[in-house]
Amino acid sequence: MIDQDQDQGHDDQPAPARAREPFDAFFRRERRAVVGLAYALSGSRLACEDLAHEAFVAAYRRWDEIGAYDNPGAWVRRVVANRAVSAIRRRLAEARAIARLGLGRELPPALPGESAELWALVRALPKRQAQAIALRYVEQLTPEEIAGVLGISRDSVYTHLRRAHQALAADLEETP
Amino acid sequence: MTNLTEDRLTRAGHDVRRAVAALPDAAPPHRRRPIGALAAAGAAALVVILALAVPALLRSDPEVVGPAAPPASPAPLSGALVVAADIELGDIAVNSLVDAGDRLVAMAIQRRAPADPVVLSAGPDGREWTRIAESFVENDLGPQAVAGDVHVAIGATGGAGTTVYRSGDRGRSWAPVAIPLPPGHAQRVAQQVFATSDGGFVAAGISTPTTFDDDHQSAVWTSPDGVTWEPELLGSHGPQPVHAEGIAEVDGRVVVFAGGGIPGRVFAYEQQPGGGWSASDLTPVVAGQAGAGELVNLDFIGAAIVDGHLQAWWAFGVMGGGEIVPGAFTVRRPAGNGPWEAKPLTGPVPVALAMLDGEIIGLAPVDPAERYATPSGVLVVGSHAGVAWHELARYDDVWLRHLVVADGGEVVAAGTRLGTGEPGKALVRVLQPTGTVIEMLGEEPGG
Repeated sequence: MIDQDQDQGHDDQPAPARAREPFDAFFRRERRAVVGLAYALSGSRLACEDLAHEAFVAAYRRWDEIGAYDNPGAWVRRVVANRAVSAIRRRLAEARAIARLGLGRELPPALPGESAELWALVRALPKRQAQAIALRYVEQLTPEEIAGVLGISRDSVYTHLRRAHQALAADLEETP
Repeated sequence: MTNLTEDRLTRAGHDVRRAVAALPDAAPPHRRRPIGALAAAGAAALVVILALAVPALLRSDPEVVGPAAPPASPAPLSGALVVAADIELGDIAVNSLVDAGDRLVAMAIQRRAPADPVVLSAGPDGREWTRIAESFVENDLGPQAVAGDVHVAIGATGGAGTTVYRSGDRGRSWAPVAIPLPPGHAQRVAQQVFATSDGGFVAAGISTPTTFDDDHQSAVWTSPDGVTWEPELLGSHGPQPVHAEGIAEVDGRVVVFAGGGIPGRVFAYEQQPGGGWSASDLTPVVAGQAGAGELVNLDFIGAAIVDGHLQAWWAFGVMGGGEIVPGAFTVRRPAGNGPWEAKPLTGPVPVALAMLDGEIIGLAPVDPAERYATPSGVLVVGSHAGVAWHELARYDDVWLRHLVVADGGEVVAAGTRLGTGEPGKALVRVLQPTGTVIEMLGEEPGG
């Protein structure tokens, strides 16, 4: 009876202060970007859309509240960023996705080899670093915007991005 | 940072954006056809988009023992539950509501940033609420249980698993408590917590041998005081976790209801008098009610003791012949440890349950398609034997999700007021029954 979405990290948002956008319009505008974030962070063509949809369903359930945030897209991105790096959540989404394959569902195309390898390295980073990198390079967010999504300070974002770059540079130098 | 790294990340980001740009359009989750809603929204959106359209084939089974299901009454009985009081709780959202005997306790989160937890307490009539703790941890606390002065609440999950919080002073101060990993395991997720009749606690959830392991195992943690916890594994479910959905106690023994996976599976794990737990796979019982087909999604509604029988309610879909048919069922284990039985529900499908005068009542959305969304209102529904549900009262101005019946017989529900033009502020509505559930329904039990 109780909503069990425990890892959404939600509601760290300014107080609601504006008229709500219709959920349908919000969904259509944000869906592909959020799926992309899930794709980069989960590495799963199977699970990425389900991870995104889980987040949109969570938002829809509370749209009275979420829709009035200044940036409901940030809320959805935080849910996805947290879920996509959770092994249990990813497995669950993959299981559902597998069941849908027989229904003619279309998956996003596989990434080129070099990109796929790089995202695998990103996913091996500490969680916050991986989330910051995905938000920076998939979503093209500024450090300030990333801070808003993840609910951390801008300085922390800079630190995560710097450390991630250092780790990736070291990894890439080992790759011929 | 090297230019090489920056360039490669930029290209990799571009490749991801190009990949998802190729995806076809998709309908929002709530507008999907049932099969899409099922698969995409997981346990959430699904069941109930067509919940009232339970087909005739699901309505009866002559082999099921128990009272016959009377036809659902379409006529609301105005005034059966009178609104005795509305109490505004402010800019919070209620996560859970429990009856702690001499008081009611609500666990909520602040709507403003930071979204820290808030604990509120009221006398047993639910009319006067006091904030007794707030912003004591940066975490969203949900399921909670209370035994005497001790509270236990489950927080968010991260790292090696769930953080659990305990209060020994009736919810005024809180501290994290370590729930141990089962031996050899690396990650555990507590999903439900329950206060047992002997003053202890049981938490239930999932545990895995490694962080990325495919072996999801149902697990329980038992505690005499909320301080020390003992883990125990209940059963292995492979790559698809079976979630702990509800906990009940009958005849001094705890029963954990669990469900999930594709195809869906339903289990009841029961504490044994001599120690250990038994597992009952209820999937064939439930699936047998639905005819041929697989359970494709599960939504636990609640569990209660009705007429001495342990009973649990589920909503879910049944896949067969290429279609998904939403339905709702109750499973019941007769007193004396008889075999589990299943029966389809008729009438409005509840989302929250409580016992009133020995009968089960519930909250249901006016529009079943809004079960997981933001309902436009709420029904209070009652049922004989938990099978045939009837409308008792209708309130279009509130969205209520949590329900308890206080010792004095008042029905206390928590949720949100609607129609104010703002994201609703938390509201507690106290309802005064004007008669027993049986009188409200106007029928004899089993009639």
